[in-house]
Formats: sequence, structure tokens, C-alpha cells
Amino acid sequence: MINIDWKSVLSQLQYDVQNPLLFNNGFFVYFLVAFILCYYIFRKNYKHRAIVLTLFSLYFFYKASGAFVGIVILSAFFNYGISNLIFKAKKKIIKKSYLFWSIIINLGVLFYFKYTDFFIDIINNFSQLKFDPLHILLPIGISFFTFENLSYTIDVYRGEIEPEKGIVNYLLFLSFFPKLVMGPIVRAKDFIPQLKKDYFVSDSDFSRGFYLIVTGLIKKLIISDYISVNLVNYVFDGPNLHNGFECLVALYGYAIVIYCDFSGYSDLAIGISKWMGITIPTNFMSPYQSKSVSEFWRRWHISLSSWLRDYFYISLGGNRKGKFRTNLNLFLTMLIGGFWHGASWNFIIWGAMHGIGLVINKLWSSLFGKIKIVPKFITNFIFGIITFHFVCFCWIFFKASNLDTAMQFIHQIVYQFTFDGAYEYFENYKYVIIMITIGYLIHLIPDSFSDLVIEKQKRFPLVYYVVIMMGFIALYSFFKSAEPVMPIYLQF
Amino acid sequence: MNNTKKVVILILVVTIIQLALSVFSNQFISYYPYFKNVNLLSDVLIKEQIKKKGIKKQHLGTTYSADNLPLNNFDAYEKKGTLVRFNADTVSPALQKFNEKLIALSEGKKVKIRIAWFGDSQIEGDFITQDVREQLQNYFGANKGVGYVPITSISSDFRRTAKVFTTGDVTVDNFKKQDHIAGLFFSGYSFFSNNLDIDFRDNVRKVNTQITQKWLLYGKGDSISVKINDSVRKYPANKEFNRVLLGSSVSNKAKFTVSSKKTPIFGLSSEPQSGIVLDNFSFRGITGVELKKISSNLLSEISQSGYYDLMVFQYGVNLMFKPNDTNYDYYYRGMRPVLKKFKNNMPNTEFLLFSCSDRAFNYDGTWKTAVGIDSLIHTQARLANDTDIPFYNFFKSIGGNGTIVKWADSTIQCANKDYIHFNFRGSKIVAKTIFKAIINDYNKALKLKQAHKPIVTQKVIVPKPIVVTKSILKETITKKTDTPKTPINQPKIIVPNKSVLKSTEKKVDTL
Repeated sequence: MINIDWKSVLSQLQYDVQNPLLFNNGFFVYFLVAFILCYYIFRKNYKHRAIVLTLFSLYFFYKASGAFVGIVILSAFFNYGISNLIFKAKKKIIKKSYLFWSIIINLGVLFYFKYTDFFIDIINNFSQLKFDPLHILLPIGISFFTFENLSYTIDVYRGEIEPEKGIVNYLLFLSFFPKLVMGPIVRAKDFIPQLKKDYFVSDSDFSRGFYLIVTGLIKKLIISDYISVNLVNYVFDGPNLHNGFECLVALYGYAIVIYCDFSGYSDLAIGISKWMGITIPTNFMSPYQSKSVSEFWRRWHISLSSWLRDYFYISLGGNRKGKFRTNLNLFLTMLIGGFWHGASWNFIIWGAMHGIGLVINKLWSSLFGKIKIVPKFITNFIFGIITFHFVCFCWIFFKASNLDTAMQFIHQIVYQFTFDGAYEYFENYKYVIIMITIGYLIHLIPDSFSDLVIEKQKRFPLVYYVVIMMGFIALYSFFKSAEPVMPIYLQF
Repeated sequence: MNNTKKVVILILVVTIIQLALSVFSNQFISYYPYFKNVNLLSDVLIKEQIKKKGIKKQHLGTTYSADNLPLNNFDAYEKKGTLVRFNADTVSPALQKFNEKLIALSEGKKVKIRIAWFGDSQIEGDFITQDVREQLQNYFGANKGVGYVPITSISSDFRRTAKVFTTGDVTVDNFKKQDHIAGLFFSGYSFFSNNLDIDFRDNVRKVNTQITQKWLLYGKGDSISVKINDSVRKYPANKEFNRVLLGSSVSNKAKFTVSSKKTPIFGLSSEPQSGIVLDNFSFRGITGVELKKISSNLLSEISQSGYYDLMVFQYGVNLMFKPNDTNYDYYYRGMRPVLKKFKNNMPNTEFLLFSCSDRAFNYDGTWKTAVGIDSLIHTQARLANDTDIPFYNFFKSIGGNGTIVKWADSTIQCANKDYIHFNFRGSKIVAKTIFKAIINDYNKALKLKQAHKPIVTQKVIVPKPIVVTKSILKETITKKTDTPKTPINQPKIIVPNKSVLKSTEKKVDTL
């Protein structure tokens, strides 16, 4: 029989820096069971339910990021307090000054944790001063909850919402565990009112939640992880060791990796939330089917792009201050969006490129948008291909660890492109290539098909869901120990 | 209908099934072995002592003379940070003539010391070697130069220390081809062209007044014609290794046209008139066995000219291409003749064999150092010991088990995610470690010199049949049993008299 090591059980309950809590940890299963039972027991009273959800969320935060849980608590109290001050202030100048401090402190904390070393590096490079980098650890989810705090205080300032009266609800809004690590960025005005409703999961919610959880897990834990570990990471870390053809395949691979990783996590967060009776808006809508850069940003990480639009682009003046300012605002919004993703020049360049892409897109539409020479399906196809490749090109900067590596990657594609060794390449990476193909096929599944599955499975008995879930676990366990694909370094 | 209960039941049912399977995992795993990856109890069960199947390592141990002085200490191969000659002698340097020349250089004498550094993709683009070269050149004087540069190479685009721009058709022959047009050089390449414009730049930083020699290296063929500044000259190619001085000036550039249809062009060399030259000979994906294709005549000729003082062999990661390989005897059989060939044909050159560096594989979802690494290093040490070549435990010196995983996964990455290659940052750290080991060896020589003792000594080779001590089987892969420091209960080896030794040495040499 089994012998439980109770010391291990106790240590499992504590934060382990080597093994932070993620959705694919075994511990998450126990966490989820304990949570859902408590949540169900306290379902009748929304306040009790909110307390349960808050405590579990804070515990999740602690297991994922240790003592940094204190930051989210402090941050919640600060923003809860200052939003009330903004609301109560009579004069606009007072409101503005509170908002100013809210922005400065929220961004200040984010800057301290995320960007200090980046600016130290800049100072070291461009001046005689030499500071040692601080190597500050980044609290999990800080980029997301900082933007959530800002949207909240700005909404209160704009008079769009009244500040939340209960601190628990606000703390829960910030720390809500399904969206903690990778979003989506949730708005308080959408989220908090749902907490106060009865715990209700419709047939459709149950089915959709299940669909999103299973497909999200497959996208993230199987497709994305497999392609990453067995191809993409090798090539992006040492593009010089691979010819242009290999780099190009790895780039197409990365495009699907980043999509499956990010959208998989979002789907999982949205699916779990559905089962809690909370609806979080869709975050990804088959973005590689876009026919323009602006369409891409309406389909990719929608919660971020809409946040940037509502709180940055519009604050800069949006499209109300003439064509030049509109384009400049677009560019700056994407630049900031790029920098939000990470503290490196690569992310700034990535954002800037998308900014330029949006400006060109806008100019093109205004000049040639109404001219129709060839049938629409042909232009859709051509623009779809162009947009996809533009996005892929930008991914090089997003993925490469530094500018040199990105330039090397491009250099290999442009100057070292050869099909020599393509046979050996396919032979070695056949499973990875199959996985990339599956990734793209999943991406191409129309929403109507997903809706059909969700609608059909509503009528299926519980055993169907159990079998599918066990099937996923079996598949995941298989891929977890699938023989790794070794890199091949071809020389002919 | 409200499905909240359904949510709870579904989560509970799936968890209960999974827990039940975990409780009976011992039985279930025989039907579905992958279950171990999703066993919900794996983190909280009392772990049984798992007896790992060890690698049988022949423990050559230490041999002792009658007066208890260690003669041959094979276990010295496990030492980190130092070059060893398996003689348990911590006073004498492992490299002797090489260090004598380094001392002469440090005394201001006009000597040229040339090192050939063989390796695989780990040193491609002059990674590691560019930093070792720079540190050696800085330590022993300001004269600098990049050394050997091939005409074209797979890594030429990202090599920072030199650039070669060519115009014209060039035929490339290399190790990977079945049939060769003519002899290959140490780089594993030779080049042929009817008319090739070459624009070469040595990018190693040096003082403006330093004279740099730019050489064209080529092999045996009919002849070769070189055109510099509209003046064409034809040179004979009747030796296995030939070179033409293209220029000797403060310039770091050379521009010329070469015509060599049947004569293999080996490459270029940019070097100071005196000082240290370190030639990078990288070839992707090889293990060193490929060097058997280098002709004996080329080796002899180069040796006679005293061209190379030291040859370093840095291979190993390409041998670990299967995660669970633990037997590298085939490598011993393939590489030993190569080392013997080099040693026999190059009596004027010293050699240094590196162990492999660290390489990791994904074992059940976790990246760990290859299970066969100890076995491979043991094999490489045997190769060095049996061919009487100094050895450097590269793996241990850079940190040993888990190093490459730590370096690839740390925030400030020092290695690539293939868990094989060091990036530019890691290469610098590695080069510093190697440099320290070389200087450590040099300092030993320096101390002997200061004490007026000879640096070059003959190693006493103990006859093979007597060397074999009691074999000890090591049981674990990762934990090594410590070798006893004192020779308790070790069989004492009676050293034969000098005449026996001499005859044995001869036998060993003719093996």
C-alpha cells in the first residue's frame, strides 16, 4: 500500500521557489477540489462566497509567488482607498491630483520590479556611471494587476463607475486566481457586479467552460510546450547554428507556440471562471486569420489592446486631434504596449513595429480601401498572408533574447537560406512539424464549429465529460515523457 | 438548469478516479507507464531508496613504487581546474615544452607559440577560443592576431574576430564528404577555385604599430598563383603543407586573388611576428574521430617544421546524442588510433585532451545532466591516460553536474536552451576557467624554472600488466565514491629496474 510522507504534505502546502504553483502542478488538483467544495458550500451568500474565493486566490498567489502576495494586498488597499478619495473629492483639481498619485504609485511599483535593471543598463551604457544590476524578482501577475488598478481608478475619475464599497470584492477583483498569471486583464466594472449575483452555471456555461478548459489545456500543455521544448527554444537561442530554412520553420513554430500558450491560458482562465458563474470576455479570436494589422489587434490579446485603446490612446487624444496626432498616438500606444510585455529593447522594437504597421495599415485603407480590382476573397487571402508574415517577422524580436540574436535570426533567413539537409530536418523533427500543423489546423477551426460542439455536448451525460477529461490526462502524461527531439546541427 | 452541482461532481469524480489510480499506481503503471507523470501522490509518498543501476567503471586506481611514491594516478582525471598527467605529481606541469616557450616569451624572447584548438560547434564562430586567445595574448604580451581563418565556413557570418569576403566560384571539400579531391587540413576543409577574390580582415584589436603577418596556407597539388596589386606570382605546391606570406605590415587586411584548381587551399593565418597564435578548428557535429582523415604525411611535415607547439582536442557533446547512452567503448576504439596517429607523427608537439562539457537531456519532464556523462569522461580520461596525453576535466572545472541546466535556465542566460552550447556570455566564463587552468600549469613550470629544476621530464610509464589494480565497480551515476587518499591495502607495485622500463616503453610506443 501507500506510505504518505506527512512532512512532504506540509511542505507541499508552502511556497516553493523551485516549484511555483501552476495549472499543471499536481497540487492544483487538490487546490481546485478544496476550493470548489468550499465555494459550493457557501454558494448561497455572495459575501461568504467572495471571502472563500478571495482567500483561495490569495493562497494561490502565495503558492505561485511567495511573500509577494503582500504587494497585491497593499495594492488593493491603496487603490480601494484612493478611488474612494477620487470619488468623494468635489473639485476636479483634487480628483486629478489623487488620480495622478494613483498612476504614479501604481506605475512606480511596476517600474521598480520590472524595469529597474533595464534602466540601470541604459545608464551604464550611456554614461560614466556604473551601477550594479539589482536582479529584482518580478511578482507574478504584476503587469496585469497594475493595469487593472489603473483602469479602475481612471474609470472612477471619469465617473464611469462608483468605487466598490467592499474591500473584499476589490481584493478579489485583483487577485482572482484564474487570471492571475497571464490575464486576461479584467475590468472592475464588468467583474465586481457578477460577484454579487447568485452562483449560477447554465447548461451552456457548463459546456463552454468544459470546452475552453480542455482545449486550453491541450493548446498550452501539449501543443505549445512540445513545440517549444523540441524545436523553437533550440533555434531561437542559437540561430547561428541553424540555416535559414530551419529558422523559418522555427519561426512558424513559434507563431503557433505563442498563440497556443497565451490563448490556451486565457481559455483556461475563462473556462474555470465560467464554472464559477463569472464571465470573462474572450481574449483571442483566431488572430492569424486577420487580414490587416488593425484586425490582428482586434483579435489578439483583446483585453490588453482594448485597455490600451481606452486608457492610453484615448487619453492621448485618440483620433480627435487630426491625422498626424492620430497616427502618432497609434504608434505611441503600441510602443508602450510593447514595453509592457517586457523590459528590453526587443519588446520596444516589437511594439514600435506594430505601431508602424498600424499607421501604414491606416494610410493604406484611407488611400486604397475603396478600390476593388480583384474579387474580395483574393485580396483577403493576399492580405491575410501579408499580415501573418508581418506578425511572424515581429515575433522574431519578441522571442529573441536580445537584439543581436534577433538580427542573427533574420540574417540566417535572408543569407543562409538553403534546402540542403531538408530531408534530415524533416526526418528529425517530423513529430514537431505534425504538432505545428495540428496547431494551425486548430487555429483555423471556425467559431461556428466550436459553438456547434458546445451546443451538442450540452445534452451529453456526465460520464462523457469524465471520459474526455481522463483522455486528456492520459494524453498529457504521454507527452510529458515523450522522447525529446534532439536538435540537429547540419553541416554539409 | 443550474449546473453548479455538476461542476462539483465532475471535478470530484475525475479527482477520485485519478487518486484511485495513484494509490494503485504500482499495478496500473505496468499497463500505462506514462501514468507516473500524473500520479497525484508522487510528491507526498515516502520515497523508497531506489537502487540505481550503475555504470561499471574500470577503476584503474593508483600505482605505487616500492617506496610508496605514486607513479600513475588515473583518478587524477577527476580533478578540476588543472591539467593532469595522471602522475599524481602536483609540482610538475602537465605541459612541458609548451610552458618552457611561454616562459621564454614572458622573458621577452622573440618566440612564436602556436596552438591548434580542435572542437565542434561549441567553439564555432571562435566562441571560447576567441576569449582564451585574448586572455593568453594579454597575459604574455601585447602581440595579437586571430590565427587561422578558413576561406568560407558555416559560421563565418557570425564570427566576430575575422571576416573573409570572397568573390568567385569555390569548391569546398570537407570531412563529411565521402571522397576527397585532395588532402584536408585540420579545419576539416579544403577549398579549390579557378579564380577567387579574397578580402580578409583580422578583427582582433591590437596596437596600431604591431606588424601582422598574413599567410595563405595550402596543400599539395600542382601549383598556386596569387595576385596581389596586379602582380601575379606562381608558387609550387609540392609539400603537404605550404604557405605564402601575403604581407607583413601594420594593416589587419589582405586583399588578393588566388587561382588554385588542383591545389587545396587550406585558409589564411593572421598572426604577430612573435607571440601566441591560437588557431580555431571547429567543425560542427563531430567527435574527433573524423580527424583520422588528416594524412600522416601532413602531420609529419608540420611537426618537422615545428609549426604547432600544442594541440587541444575539445570534443564530447556530440557523443551524447541518446539520453540513456552510458557505454562509450566504441568511442575509445575510434579515437585512440587518431590520438596515436597524431602523437606518433608529431613528436615535436604536445597535446591536451579535454573532457566533454556538460550536456543535459529532458528526463521525464526535467532537464538533467546526461546520465552517461561520467562514463564518457572516464572513457576520455582512459584515452588520455593510455596515449600519454595530458587531460583537462572540463566538465568538473566549469561546475560539474547540473551546470548547463543552471546556465540555460537562469535569468541571465549563459547557455542555449539546447542544453549543449554556451552563449557568448557562457563562453567567456568557460574561457576564463580554461585560461586559469593553463596559467596554473604555467605557474608550476615557472616555479621549477625559478628553482633551477628541469621543466621537461620524461614520464615514467609503468608496464601495463602491473598497472591493473583491483577493479572497483561504482554503483551510482551521479555520486562518485571518493578515492582513498592514502594507499591503504592497495597492492604495492614493484617497479621493474630501468632496463625493463626501457623495453616496456618501446613496446608501448610501437603499439
